[in-house]
Amino acid sequence: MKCKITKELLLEYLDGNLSKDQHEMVDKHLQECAECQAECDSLRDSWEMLGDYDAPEISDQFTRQVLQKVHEKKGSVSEGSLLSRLLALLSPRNFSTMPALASLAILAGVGYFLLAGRPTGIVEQKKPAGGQRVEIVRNLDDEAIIRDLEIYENAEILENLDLLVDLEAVENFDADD
Amino acid sequence: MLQFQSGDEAAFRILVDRYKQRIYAFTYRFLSRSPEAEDIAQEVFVKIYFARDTYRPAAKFSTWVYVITRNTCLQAMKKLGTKISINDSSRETDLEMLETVADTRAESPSEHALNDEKAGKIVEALDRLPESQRLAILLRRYDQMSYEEMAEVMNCSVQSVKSLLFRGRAALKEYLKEYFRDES
Repeated sequence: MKCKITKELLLEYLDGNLSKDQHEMVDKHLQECAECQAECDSLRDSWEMLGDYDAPEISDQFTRQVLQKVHEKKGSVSEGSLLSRLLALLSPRNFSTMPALASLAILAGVGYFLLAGRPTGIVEQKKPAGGQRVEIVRNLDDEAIIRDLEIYENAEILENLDLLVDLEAVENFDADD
Repeated sequence: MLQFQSGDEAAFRILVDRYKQRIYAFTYRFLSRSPEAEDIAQEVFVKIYFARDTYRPAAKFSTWVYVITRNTCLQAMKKLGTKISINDSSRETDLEMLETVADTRAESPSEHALNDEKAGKIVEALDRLPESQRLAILLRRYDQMSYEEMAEVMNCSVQSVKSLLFRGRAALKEYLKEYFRDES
């Protein structure tokens, strides 16, 4: 086996990924070639040396901080979505939407004033019976007044009846004369 | 994950606890011991939370997690502007962290210094690799991924993964050769 081929197979050889035949061939070459053996040793040593590069232990607060960040982001996402949409609509980039927004604002204003006058009407509609009752009472009062007035007038007539009878008698007396 | 997908918040906490050290170790190494590594790792889990509906059980969950981790790291590197130089002041902070960890392991001062020196050498060597090669080395060496899993995470073919690993390991061997010579 040539050095070039051996060097190409060295990583797979070190990782144990070669077939049994290939592995034996590389083994044999390494025993015969000091240069390839040195190359193999360097590759193995440098790979093993990486094992001395430890990462520090993670802080105890890590999980808590992650959960806190998640909740903060959750909050900002829900709050931001509506606000950002509104702001996006009002941004200069969406200038083309301005006429539509202005029309909507005018419609909303007109609608408000129209509806603002409705509540009493609605209340009146909601209480038709009460309204009628008031009307009826008023009518009853009127009737009583009218009746009282009629009685009063009748009473006046009765009070003047004697006078009228007298006047009639005088007139009849005059006529007899 | 399926429990978490169906809205079980407690399942998310378990998931974070299970993966946090691995993901942090990855961001720590990929971002060359940056002090932001822990923040970036937290960001990974926040992304996982909000992207949970995009996970399909047909894919291996750890692979999906690493895809998000890789993307988050690459975005962070762009945001940070540049690869962090191993000589900047943040290294000192980071070395202090390493000291704390080393102290808890009750190492002798000489062992401690040796480990620091070794770690510094490795970081320096990894830093010199292109991102794709560094990513391949980290996934293979520290996360023991298969070529197929790496191809999925790195969004490339298995052949490309092998090629990246080959070139990365060859370069590392050269960068660390000096250290072996000094050591021997």
